[in-house]
Amino acid sequence: MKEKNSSLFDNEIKKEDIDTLISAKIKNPGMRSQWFYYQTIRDVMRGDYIGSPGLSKKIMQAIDQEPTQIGRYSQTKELAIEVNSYYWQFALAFTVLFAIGLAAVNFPQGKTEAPVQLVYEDMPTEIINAHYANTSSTANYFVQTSLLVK
Amino acid sequence: MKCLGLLLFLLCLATPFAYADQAGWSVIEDAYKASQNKNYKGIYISQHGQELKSVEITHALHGNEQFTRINLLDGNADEIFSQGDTVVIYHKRDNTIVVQKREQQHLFPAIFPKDINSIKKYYLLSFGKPDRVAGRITQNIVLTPKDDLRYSYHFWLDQQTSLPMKMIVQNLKKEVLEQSAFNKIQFVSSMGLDWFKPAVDLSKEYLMDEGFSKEINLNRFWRASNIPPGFKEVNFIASKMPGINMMSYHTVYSDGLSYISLFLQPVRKGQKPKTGDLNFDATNVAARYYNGYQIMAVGAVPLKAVRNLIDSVDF
Repeated sequence: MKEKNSSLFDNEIKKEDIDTLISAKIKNPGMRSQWFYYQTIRDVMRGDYIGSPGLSKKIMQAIDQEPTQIGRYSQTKELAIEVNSYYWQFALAFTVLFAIGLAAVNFPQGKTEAPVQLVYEDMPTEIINAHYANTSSTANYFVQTSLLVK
Repeated sequence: MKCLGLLLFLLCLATPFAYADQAGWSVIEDAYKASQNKNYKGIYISQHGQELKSVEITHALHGNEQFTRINLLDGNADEIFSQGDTVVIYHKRDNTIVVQKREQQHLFPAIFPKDINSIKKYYLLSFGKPDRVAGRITQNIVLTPKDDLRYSYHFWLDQQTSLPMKMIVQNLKKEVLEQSAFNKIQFVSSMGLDWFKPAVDLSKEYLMDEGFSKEINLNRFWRASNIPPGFKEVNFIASKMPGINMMSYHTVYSDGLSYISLFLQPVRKGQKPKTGDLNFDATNVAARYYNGYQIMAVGAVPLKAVRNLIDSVDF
């Protein structure tokens, strides 16, 4: 079923299998979550993913739940689906590594620099400007929030 | 009897303001309507902390739609054009003019919200003495907070039109934090719209600033359990942080007069998160570092209000 799932995602599924697969997705919570993960990986690869503090944890859980593949997959009737399954193994492995790397670089870390006392000189200008631009009733409303203005 | 009379006289001297009954609140509603419906052009001085700026404002109600043009007369010649709910600001610099869309605001003198229930619940309204502002007779009113989570607001409302002519914000020590006051204003019964167009300067490059702050409807992963009483969320902005695939969040709360911004930003590697409190001008800032996020609250409210808010953020 996962191979068909991959085929659907890759727009290479046979027409007669589409209805069966969609019905299975609706009924089966496991299939729904698998579909969700595929879409998340796709979004991360495209740079469209808009953040979740639990992303790396969810990816690691998904990897843990995957069975270890020792032998090759059994022969399927359709060669296109078989080739597609290999493609998805590579793609999935690559995207998981990519997502973990991205998370390691970008995501909030438990061990960051030690917090320092807030002082006026270190007050982030973009925060003050964003506050005034959205709340001020005085001439502070004219504050520059644009990155285009230097 | 003489003693009783003397006591009443002394009480009157000791209480220069008379607190309003329920009907008295109509002055706020009238001031709101005046700021929406009246046609006027004037110049007011706006002071925030040590900074003082002159501002020219033209406002007209045309059909059912409001048109406002606000020009900064000191420093950069920035302009604001507001039509209905659409606000556009023109930042004018040496060689460029950056055009940016903004959220609707309660800029002086249109600072009162349509719904004043929160103001009625969390402020006491009292009436002071009539006074002259910009050559016009005004009625002084004071909104005093019932708790220590907001500042007091003094207004001078035009007796003829109800438009706010002057506003002062005071802290709990009665120090003036910010003020705006007309020094010149002219009301007209009707007004054309020939003034409602920006001064185009073809020698400058015009840049549209559209991508800096992107509003996205997202489910928030955090919860603030101690929002000051009477404050409600009035705005929420989620922006993609430049250079990384992470979002920062800006939520604005208001009780109708005071505003608090709550910021949540992921801390990047190598960035030192901030903690503690800060005060400058009328603004208090409280900062906290939690679970990889820099949490900050900023507002023209007492420090207690912003501190309580950020300490209650959890996820």
